[in-house]
Amino acid sequence: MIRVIALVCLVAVSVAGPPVRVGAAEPGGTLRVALTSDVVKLDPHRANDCFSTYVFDEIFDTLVALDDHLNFVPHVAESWQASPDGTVWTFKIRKGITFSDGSPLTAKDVAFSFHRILDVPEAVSGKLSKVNMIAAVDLVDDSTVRFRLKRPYAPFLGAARQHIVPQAVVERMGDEAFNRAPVGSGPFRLRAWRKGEQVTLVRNDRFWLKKPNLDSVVFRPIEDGTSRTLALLAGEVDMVDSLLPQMIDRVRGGGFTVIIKPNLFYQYLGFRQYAPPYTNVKFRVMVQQAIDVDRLVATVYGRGGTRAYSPVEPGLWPRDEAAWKAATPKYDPARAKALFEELIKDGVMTKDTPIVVHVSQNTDTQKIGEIVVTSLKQIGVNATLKVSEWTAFLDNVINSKDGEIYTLGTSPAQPDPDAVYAWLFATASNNGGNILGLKAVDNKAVDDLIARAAATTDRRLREQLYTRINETVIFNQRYHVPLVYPNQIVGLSAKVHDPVPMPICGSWMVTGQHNTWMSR
Amino acid sequence: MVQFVARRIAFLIPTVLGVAFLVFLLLHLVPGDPVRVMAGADVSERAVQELRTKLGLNRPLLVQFGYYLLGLLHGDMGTSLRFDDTVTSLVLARFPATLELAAVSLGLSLAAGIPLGVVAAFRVRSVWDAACTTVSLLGAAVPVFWLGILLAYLFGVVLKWLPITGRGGPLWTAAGWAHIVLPAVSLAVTQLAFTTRLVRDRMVEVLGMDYVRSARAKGLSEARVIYHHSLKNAMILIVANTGLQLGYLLGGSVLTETVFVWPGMGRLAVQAISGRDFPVVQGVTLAFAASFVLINMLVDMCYMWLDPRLRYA
Repeated sequence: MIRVIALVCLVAVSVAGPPVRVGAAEPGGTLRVALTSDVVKLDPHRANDCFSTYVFDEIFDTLVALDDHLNFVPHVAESWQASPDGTVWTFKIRKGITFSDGSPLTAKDVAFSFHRILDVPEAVSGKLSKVNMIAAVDLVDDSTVRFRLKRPYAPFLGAARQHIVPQAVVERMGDEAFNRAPVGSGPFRLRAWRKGEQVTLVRNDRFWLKKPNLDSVVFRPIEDGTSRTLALLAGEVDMVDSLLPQMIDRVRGGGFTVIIKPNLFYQYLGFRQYAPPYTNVKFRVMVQQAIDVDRLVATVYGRGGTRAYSPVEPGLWPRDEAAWKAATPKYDPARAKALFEELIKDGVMTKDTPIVVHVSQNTDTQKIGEIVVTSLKQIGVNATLKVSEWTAFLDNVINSKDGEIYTLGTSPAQPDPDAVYAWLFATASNNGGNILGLKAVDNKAVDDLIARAAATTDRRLREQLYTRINETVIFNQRYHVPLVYPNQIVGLSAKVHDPVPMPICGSWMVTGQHNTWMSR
Repeated sequence: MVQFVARRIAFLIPTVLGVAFLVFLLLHLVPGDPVRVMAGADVSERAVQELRTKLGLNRPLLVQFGYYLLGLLHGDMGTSLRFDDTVTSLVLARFPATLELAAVSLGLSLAAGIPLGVVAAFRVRSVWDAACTTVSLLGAAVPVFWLGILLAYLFGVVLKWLPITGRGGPLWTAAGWAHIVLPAVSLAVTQLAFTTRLVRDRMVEVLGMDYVRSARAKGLSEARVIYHHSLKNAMILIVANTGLQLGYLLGGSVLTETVFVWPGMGRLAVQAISGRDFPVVQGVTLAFAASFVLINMLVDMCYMWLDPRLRYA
């Protein structure tokens, strides 16, 4: 009877108008996802890489979550409150959440989860640097957890976005067994895992937020870009996490969906300021004006990238693209040549001073290096390209004391401007841009501004401070030549509906706003 | 025979030891600080030190090698830095897939290469000879990944006849065969040329021998001359070549495994290298080397079985 009614409805819809597609989600089905690399660990507190995150994000819930616009929203925590000085954060834990084994999620599990990161050596977790502002985790009652911080830290919600594991299960199984058979409260649970080959998740019927539409999700690593595309075209996978830019038209032409989204990733030219002329602002302006960045982005990335004017990626704040664009020196080789002559006259460098452009061995970075060197040579600078294998590149970055121009890419650890500026421009922050010996910045005033912006919870004030920092490091000092935000190019079969390709690591198929489903 | 085998096994030990030492050095020959690379750029110097101690990389080189050897004797090749598993279990899990692919593609290349070679030799300097040689050389000249992608596109995307990614299961299932066809064919094509050329040249040589002339003079059928008298004699070299081919196929299927997402050791090596998982790189290299040495020993033993003269040498 129900089937008959459904059929009648279907006919009614198809008679009513040409788009036959029925809007309602159809539950059931398996979504097969191809990832660029293999899933390494499923214990969220022991893995740090993007592709593992894709999978364990579906198995575990985080204390707070992100919405489509990268705002923090309640999740396991139904509400939170920061003390006026920003050093004490209290989270109210949602009641009625159960793990997939049926046990309830309580504040105890939340406290335990943070201790699993805080109480082990950094090399074990790899996540300590993201939460090391926490001085203590207090269990107030069954549904309240309080974090006391070492210093006022406004972007704490980013640090608090950690996955919650069941204390009893972890303690019973031990770390290693838990990694092999994780238990969480997320929309899916682990069914099978053949390492380096395939991870199969099935729907967790106990999921508290809503009933996931998909029956199961299969993640497979397909490292080769062409093979990934062919697998999608052949119908062996339904979703591909990243397509090669040159494949976009071919995939679209085949009736597939391609979503191009700027990623939270920023590629730039930096200067190792160990010696002149790298320490000279005029020199850095000269480099910027010698390079046609628009053409560089088009040549190297094509549709795989969007021109960057600042380290703050689209989706983050504060952004003022128009103002940044206006403040960025235009490509002007004649002006660059004039600056070069001025630098020679000022005695900063000579006509023959060797300028080294150092890049790591990688198709994109090598192309960037070649374009930069050619551009500099065109204005008469004695520039040479140095290409090193990544290990050697990193070694040089840490140990050498030579001035250089380099290119690096970076992704903020959390969607907050502090993660951008502290990492790239603070002299001595825990994971700051200079700890590696890049010496990209040498500016005490910037350090103070970054510390002040992290210490206040007043969003308006923070916006003002970050705008000032950006003006200083990019437009006054020109520590970077911003190049590109590489895009995330997701390929989807026409059967997949309501996917959530977020610009940061991780995949959410079932969120407050979304519930991915497949049509038959 | 027993003495010979014992001697060969005795030779095996220093070879494997030498390989183990070279493989061990791999980690220390890497430019830069491998521990820093493993730890990642965004962890503190303290964490790097912790990791160095955990891996035992702060001890003197020879002491480290001693521990490494001691582990090897227990079948312990270390622990993967990325997965929580032992290297031994990872390698063992992947070995059957690689062996299966190597065996099927070797079988294909022999099944096609021997007849092609025989035809070419039998009609030497004819159109048939030229055709066989051209086909086999073309196979050798085509880059294996290019051929793989082409086959995947044609049979997977356009015709939709065959699956193009992964392993379907054991070979006694239909899915297992369907999945192995394309990777095995693309691997076999590159091996075909060697077999064809070798069989052809060897057969041309043998067919010119006195005993072949005698056999023909006795009035034996041409088929009997070829199969019984010539091919069998040509076989010795072909067996040796086959052994070498199997060794190359085991270690050389990296590209094919990557293109067809085949869960073998070649792809494990690629995954380990891109993930800078040094113990796994060491383990896979050692496994490749050991199987190569072992196969060579087996080939030598086949030699003796095929050619009785060698038993007394």
